[in-house]
Amino acid sequence: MTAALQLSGVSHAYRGVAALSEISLTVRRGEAVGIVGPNGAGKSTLLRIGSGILRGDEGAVLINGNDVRGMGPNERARIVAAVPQNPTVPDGFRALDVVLMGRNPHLRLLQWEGRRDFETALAAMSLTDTEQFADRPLKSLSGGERQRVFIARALAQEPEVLVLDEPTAHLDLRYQVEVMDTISRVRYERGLTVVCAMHDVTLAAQYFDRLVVLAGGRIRAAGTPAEVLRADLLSEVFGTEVVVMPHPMAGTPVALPIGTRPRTSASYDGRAVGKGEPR
Amino acid sequence: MEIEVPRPGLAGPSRALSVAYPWPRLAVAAAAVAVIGVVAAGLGAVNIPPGTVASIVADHIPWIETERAWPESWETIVWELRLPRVVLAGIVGAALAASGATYQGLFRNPLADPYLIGVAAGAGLGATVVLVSGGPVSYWGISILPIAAFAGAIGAVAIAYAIARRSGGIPLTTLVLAGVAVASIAGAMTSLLMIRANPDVRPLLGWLLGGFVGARWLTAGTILPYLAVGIAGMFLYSRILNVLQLGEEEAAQVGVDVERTKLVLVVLATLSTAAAVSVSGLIGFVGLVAPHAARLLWGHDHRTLLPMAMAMGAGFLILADLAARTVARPSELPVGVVTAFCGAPFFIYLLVRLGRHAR
Repeated sequence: MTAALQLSGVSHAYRGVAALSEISLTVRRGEAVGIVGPNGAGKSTLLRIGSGILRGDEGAVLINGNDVRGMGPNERARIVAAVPQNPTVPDGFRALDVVLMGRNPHLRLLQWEGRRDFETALAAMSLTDTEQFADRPLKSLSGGERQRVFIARALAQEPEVLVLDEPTAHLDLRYQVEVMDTISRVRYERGLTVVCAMHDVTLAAQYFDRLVVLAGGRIRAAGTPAEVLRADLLSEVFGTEVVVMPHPMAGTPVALPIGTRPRTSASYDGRAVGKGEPR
Repeated sequence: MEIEVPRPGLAGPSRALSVAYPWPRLAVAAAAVAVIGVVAAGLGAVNIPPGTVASIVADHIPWIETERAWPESWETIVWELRLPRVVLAGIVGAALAASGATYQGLFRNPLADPYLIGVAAGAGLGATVVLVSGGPVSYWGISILPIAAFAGAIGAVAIAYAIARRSGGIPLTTLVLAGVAVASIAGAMTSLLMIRANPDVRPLLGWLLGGFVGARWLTAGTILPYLAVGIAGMFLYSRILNVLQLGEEEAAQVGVDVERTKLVLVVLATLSTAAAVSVSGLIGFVGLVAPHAARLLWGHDHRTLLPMAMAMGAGFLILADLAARTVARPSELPVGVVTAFCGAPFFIYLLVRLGRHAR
């Protein structure tokens, strides 16, 4: 069986500054892979190259075994859909309008959205629990609601591979979980392959089959969350001391930064930090 | 995969599963433009009732028989003098509005207008070069000013586009800045040529201020093919232009060939604007106000926005030209002055009245 997405020897530089070096990664069909790593590790570049909208300087990207260079934009967009990190929220369009834009790869230049496109878009909104927002301006929705609308837009493309770039960034706890649950749900309902960049390694460990640790444009480790999330590796990669413990409910590894604050309130004597403030 | 039926109540079981295109609204807009045109053609030094104007128009449609109950002079005034002017104002207004709507969508900036990336300065330079060259300004009674202006406009945009074209992609901010730079150079060259050569600049000034004096059927007929191609092309791309509102990267993710789309839209909008500018000079405000007003009133979908903006631009410019030739009779005002005087307050009214709802 061909891999859903295969990167081999991919390197890329922005104006001479290396962003990715010799990345080789195979994502099996139906698998959910989380890409974790510090800021500037190259996560977004990896996703942009993997989804075919950025051409890497070196290496090959195969989608369903086909070289992405030989694919037209529409052909590619029917297989890979992406949810960007900071989606532009266009003025004056309803949520449904934006989801319908996901039908673009299935439409010809002169063709407008028809019955099947509306049905597909509404089904995608139903799956992401956003159909109640269909007629609301996208601007009027909250961050988490918008993110789910953008996932619906990606689903409207009827893709096989869903690529997401930090879908939980800037969201509070409740919306983080809502968005991650939505991703899990659509993954199983539609049998999607998921590749998702994440800041939060703990959340990534809870939701993905396999994690890839990216640092300095190179893959540092790859494997199941339990294999990859080791305190020594994370401490080194993120440049801060980290402890790892099992999640009390899920059993997946939880990564906690230690930080520099005194560890217990008992060790806080009021002077070490307060610098002699009058008490 | 099974299609889930939307739950009733919220999304609604009776939701229309197709694009709700507002045909009646477009028909009303087209009819309004026609009425404005007929009324405008009847007003002037000699006032002719709209009904008679309509009959004179109908008389020129081959398969319609009308009873000729009007003096011969009216026929000349309406058919030879006023109607070409009304029609030219209408198609120029429509073309500027369509180009403005396209640029505003492409650059995702409501302040964009059709002259944004160098069309105006290029056209001015083209016309000036002809004037100072010392050669004849017209051959066989046909002025070559429009041709030179057209070439200058296309040339300026082409240079701006070439400058912005680095590493395969055209960043839109770079395109705007390149347009500004090209426009400055073209403007400086225009000034230099005028000072050095010291020609009779009255034809140039007249052209720069813009207007439809001396419009003939031939003028309208000459630019119509360019406008037709440009406007039809922009309308073909209106759905893609909607998708482009997601941002370039996201548009690429849903399968839009962003670079090609940008090139096609710049070419189409420039073609229409250059053709319009070549015969009517630099008429400001129409290309900015008409699409903006149409967007505030009827929404952001470019499939509707484009035709509605065109109707607004056409109607507005016909009325502005009517004012230009009647308000200060027997002399004429430059139509650009009228568009600014009427367009700006209307624009402010729309901003204040409707701006809140658009947010």
